[in-house]
Amino acid sequence: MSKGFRQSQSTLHTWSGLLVGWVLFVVFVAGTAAYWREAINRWAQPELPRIEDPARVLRGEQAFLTQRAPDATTWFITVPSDRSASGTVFWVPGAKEKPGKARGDTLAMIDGNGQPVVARETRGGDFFYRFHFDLQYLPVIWSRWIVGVCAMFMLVAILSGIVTHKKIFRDFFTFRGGKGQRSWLDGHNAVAVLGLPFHLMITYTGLVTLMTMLMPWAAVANYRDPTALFTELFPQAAPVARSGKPAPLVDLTVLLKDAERRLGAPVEYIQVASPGDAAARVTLSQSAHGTLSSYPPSLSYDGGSGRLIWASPPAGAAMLTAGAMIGLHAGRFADAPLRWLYFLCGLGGSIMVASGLVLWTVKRREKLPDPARPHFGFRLVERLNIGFVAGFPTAMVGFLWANRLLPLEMEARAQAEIDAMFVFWGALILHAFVRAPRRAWVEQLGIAAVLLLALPVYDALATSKGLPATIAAGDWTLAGVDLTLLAFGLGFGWAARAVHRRAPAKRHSRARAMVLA
Amino acid sequence: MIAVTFAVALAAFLLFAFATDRQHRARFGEALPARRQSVLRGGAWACVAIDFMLAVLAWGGVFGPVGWIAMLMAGAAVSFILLNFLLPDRANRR
Repeated sequence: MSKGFRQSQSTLHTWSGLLVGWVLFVVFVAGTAAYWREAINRWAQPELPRIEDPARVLRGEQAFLTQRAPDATTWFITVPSDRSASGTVFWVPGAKEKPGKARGDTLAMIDGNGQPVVARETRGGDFFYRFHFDLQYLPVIWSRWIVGVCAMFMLVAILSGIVTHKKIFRDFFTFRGGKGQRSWLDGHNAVAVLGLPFHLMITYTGLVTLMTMLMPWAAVANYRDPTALFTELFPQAAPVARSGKPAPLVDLTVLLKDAERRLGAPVEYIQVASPGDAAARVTLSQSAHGTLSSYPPSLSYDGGSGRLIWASPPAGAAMLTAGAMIGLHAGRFADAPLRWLYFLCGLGGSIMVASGLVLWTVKRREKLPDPARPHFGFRLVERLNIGFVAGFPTAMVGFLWANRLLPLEMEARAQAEIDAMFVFWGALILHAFVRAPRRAWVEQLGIAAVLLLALPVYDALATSKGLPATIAAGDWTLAGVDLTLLAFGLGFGWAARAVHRRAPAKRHSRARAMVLA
Repeated sequence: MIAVTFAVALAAFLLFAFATDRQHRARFGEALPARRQSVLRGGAWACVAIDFMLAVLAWGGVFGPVGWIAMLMAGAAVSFILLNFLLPDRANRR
């Protein structure tokens, strides 16, 4: 391979990584946290009883909707698993009912006892999941374009990085510590190469999740009516009109049992069209937890008799491929060991992006004409690195603290948690710009460590779901969240200490350089 | 079964590492003979193949390949940590 080509790839790698690195870091970190979306949802509502019998929740959901929205056009019901915080119901109001002003007016949560949830209002882990592709405070379509373009840059950075890394196999196991730029490069290469299959997969499949937005031309050229495409991709039983004859709806738990037997997998979503009418139709969709594809099959039943009337046809090769790719990205199928591996790979990806960002400054610091007064571009990158690499994870912990500390009865509490996180993050970015860089790193990493280590302590003292209680109850999902927070607290503490301990040596050498000058 | 899958993946990458001159010298304090390099590499590739079968047994035909790749990455990562941070470096001690 010619040196010129490799050099051009190296330049491409550097700039494609740096220009979007901060957004990529945020997307990677939030996406990694989202692998524990359900666990964080449970942690965020410690008042809720653990779900031991999903059928009991479904009975509660049906009873709630029968009483609250008997004339709705459609009910949408989530069947929880034992990992979920609660069951969710959503309905489209019928002609007789006034449409809800806010989404919350037609949405409700049902707890493990089958009762409407009485718990703090929060987005929990769902926030991190949505944030990693919808961002916040921006129109969704803009956010997805931003994330999509950044993911394309990421793919370019990965591929050009592979070309740039000359001794990818020879240096596979090599780490030379304590050697400044060489150590940073070895570390960056290690997390990149060790998790390379994951990094390639997650970036490419991430683009696949946005493919209809990024590359709409095939659909636009072939389908004048977008609903025709949708109908072809996601076939459903033929729609029925409301007959006007009232009829009780069949017990949904009976249909659940029958559908799970036929599908050979758990059901996650139930849609009831025209509930309470003789023409009612119930469609049950398989959970993505049991299948690699994100487009699992559905079954439709007559709502009055409970007779099976329709089954979705086997998916075509294109849909199966797209479904499997999106399924691989989201990892919903993963059991606990695989989920941990997904999480660790996501962590590796986050460290890869972060170390690449820091490497940019480490590499250029040595070439600065006056290290005490770096040029504007260098200062900007250095400060943004602190505000994002140390600041964003710290702000995420701030979100968790807001979940614990905001008044329970507060108006628009879920949004307030999110706002609190961004206000905190804004303050941390500001802090990164006004403090000396090394002090800012130490302080932000230290704040993250203290906040992380204090959270499980607060849980043990102020909630009924502290570590001793959850371990005693064998509730390893909640215990796992607190133990992970502790582990991260120790990790951030170690990082803060490591940066702090390097500071005197640097100051010393600078002072000596001044004396010598 | 999953623990065995991980152990075999780890063994594969330790063997790959010992099949490099740098790591062989660091662990065993001597240069790597060509014949031993072939044996170590062969053993590593055999472990990779066995690991695939173990992963399919553990997770089934659909999720097995995903679990296999994940375990190989975990094995590579743990071997990296062992070799660089936990096991003594006999070459540099001299």
